[in-house]
Amino acid sequence: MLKPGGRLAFFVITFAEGLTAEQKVWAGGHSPEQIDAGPGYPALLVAAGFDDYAVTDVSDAYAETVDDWIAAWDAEFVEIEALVGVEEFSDRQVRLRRAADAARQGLRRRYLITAVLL
Amino acid sequence: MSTPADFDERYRRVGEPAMVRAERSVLGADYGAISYTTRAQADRLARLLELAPGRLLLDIGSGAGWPGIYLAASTGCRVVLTDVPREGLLVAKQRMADDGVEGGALVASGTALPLRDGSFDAVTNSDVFC
Repeated sequence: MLKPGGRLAFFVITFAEGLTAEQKVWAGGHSPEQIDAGPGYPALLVAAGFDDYAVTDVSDAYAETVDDWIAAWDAEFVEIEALVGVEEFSDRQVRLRRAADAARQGLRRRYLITAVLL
Repeated sequence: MSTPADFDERYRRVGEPAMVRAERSVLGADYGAISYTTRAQADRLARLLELAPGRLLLDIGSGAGWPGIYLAASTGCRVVLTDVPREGLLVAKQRMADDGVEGGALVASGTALPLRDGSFDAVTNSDVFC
């Protein structure tokens, strides 16, 4: 889709390498659920004709943002729970807390990946 | 895994005051997103992608338009949004019109985009290709 010289920049959430299936279930407990690609993006980008790629770990900022979402929904508890229902509200907050914990433990990572098409 | 009905329900909540307040407090934006891309990170994307007037951006998995519409509005580029849930793109199209952003929205999976090679100056997505 890109023109030659076109730029790609995207965020990806993935697991740390070497996790057991049980750890992945725990660490992946919220959307996006399809998070098992691993850190193989540079090789994929090179194979697709990209160059000048960079991978930046933004996991710490990700954990902070997840914390912020938890706090924001808690601050709007009455209205948001009325909108989404008791079960969805509770499930989401639990899943986000697990995600933040997983990020802090290094089990769940978020990266910013950039590349230029040759 | 979220179903199409889940997405439809989610996008029907866009604009609810409590959701807008929460999104603004977390992301610094109000596009109906439940995203981990903050406004500061979106601004970083704009610089990395070298977005500017006359350039064309593709945002894959755009949902209701964050950050694609914001990137277009803040840099002057045009944007094409793609996603599978139609409800989100309908919200996005209205926001594009409201913000005076040029571009379009297309219901399509990121794994099979019906777009010509060599069409875009920049491509982005947030936590979609995982």
